[in-house]
Amino acid sequence: MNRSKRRARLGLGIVLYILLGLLAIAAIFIFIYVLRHPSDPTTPIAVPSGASASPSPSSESPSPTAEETPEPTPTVEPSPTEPPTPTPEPARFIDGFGRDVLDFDYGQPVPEAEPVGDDFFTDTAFIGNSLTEGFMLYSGLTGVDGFAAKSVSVRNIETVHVVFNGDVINLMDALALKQYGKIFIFLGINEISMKIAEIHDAYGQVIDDIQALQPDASIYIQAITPVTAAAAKDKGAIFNNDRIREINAQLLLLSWEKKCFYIDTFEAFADERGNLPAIASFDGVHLTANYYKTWLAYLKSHAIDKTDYGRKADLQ
Amino acid sequence: MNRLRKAILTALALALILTLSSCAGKFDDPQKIIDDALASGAFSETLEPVENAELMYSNFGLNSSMVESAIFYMSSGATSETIVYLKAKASESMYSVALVAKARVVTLKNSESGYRPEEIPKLDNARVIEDSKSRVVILIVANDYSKLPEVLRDAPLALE
Repeated sequence: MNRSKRRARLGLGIVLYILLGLLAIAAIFIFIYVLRHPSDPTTPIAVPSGASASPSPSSESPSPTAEETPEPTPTVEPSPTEPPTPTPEPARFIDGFGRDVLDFDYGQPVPEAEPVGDDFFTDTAFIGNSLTEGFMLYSGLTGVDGFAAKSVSVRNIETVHVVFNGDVINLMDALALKQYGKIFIFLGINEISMKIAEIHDAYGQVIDDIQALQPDASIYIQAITPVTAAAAKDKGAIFNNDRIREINAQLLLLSWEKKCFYIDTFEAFADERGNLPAIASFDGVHLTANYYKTWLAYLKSHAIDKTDYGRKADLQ
Repeated sequence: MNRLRKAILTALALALILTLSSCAGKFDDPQKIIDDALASGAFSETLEPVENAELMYSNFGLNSSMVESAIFYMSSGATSETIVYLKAKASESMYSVALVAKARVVTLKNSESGYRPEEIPKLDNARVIEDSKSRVVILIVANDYSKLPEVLRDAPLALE
């Protein structure tokens, strides 16, 4: 009896071991199957936080129909983090020549570009001395307003009178009669004997005053044009192109400080030695009529358009 | 007889031509007047024509209703030298046109005083020619008035 009982127990143990072995083998097969079919929608797969739980269709596995595809249930919920705030792209203001006004460096002269037409100067005023008078007379540009007189300088611009529409009127009062989009300033040659710091401060004050009168206008500071080599000799040591370059450097600095466009009209007329060619002037300072046309051509090829965008850019 | 008639007719035709030509004013050919003046050596620099008449009307304070035609030759900045030809639309406008020309001299003088004193004598001796027959006013600011053509040289001073 004891013997038969012992045999029965032994048989039961063997059966149990066989069953456990079979279960282990089945588990191994299931594990291998799962490994080989990771995209099987019926098999939930852990999804990293933040990633999509939906299977992505690929060219190898054509997207199954809605009936065939049960809705996948992600086993891991995405963490409830705040949705990322999209970083706004800074507004880009491109001028008529593809230049980004936002990036405009006021500490550099306006670069050369495809020339604009006369219509660029609609709503434009020119302020300056006798060279601006000459520009108004002989550049051939029409439909613009000129506020110019021979003796105008940063010292007297607040009190000087100009002829405007047939009336002799204070320059700044005349300028206040209308709002302009663009104002070109040409001053500095009558100031040549002033100290550099005085020129800087007085010219800066003129810009401030003009900007106060014309808040929406873009201001263009034109560099003092060169003089001829002969004029530099005749008119004394202070009246030469080195001195003019020195003042022009201040005008460039002011352009940067006051966010004005600096037009390098010195470069426009200087020969390879940095002088105004003798043929371009009767007295060594003022231009002959044809060269005012050259001046206009230079302004046209160094125009910066849509300056209102530039102002918006400044506000950012 | 026929010959005599022919001669009389020819003489009459010549007389008519001469009469008509004598009616033409001394100032009816503006470009000739200007060219003669510019070639006379009276100006120290080459004056250039200003094509922007609208601007010049504005600068001079001229009303286009009183001027039939105008030609402006100006300095491009080096001096105050000028020659301007203005033809009035009507005889009644002559006085106003001449006044505008004289006022221009005053404006230039104010502008130059304290700035380029060497220009003041030129302005003090500026000429304004008024020819009512041809309704022409000519303003001249020159460097050497003695070199001007006679018809301009003896004209009255603008600031008299």
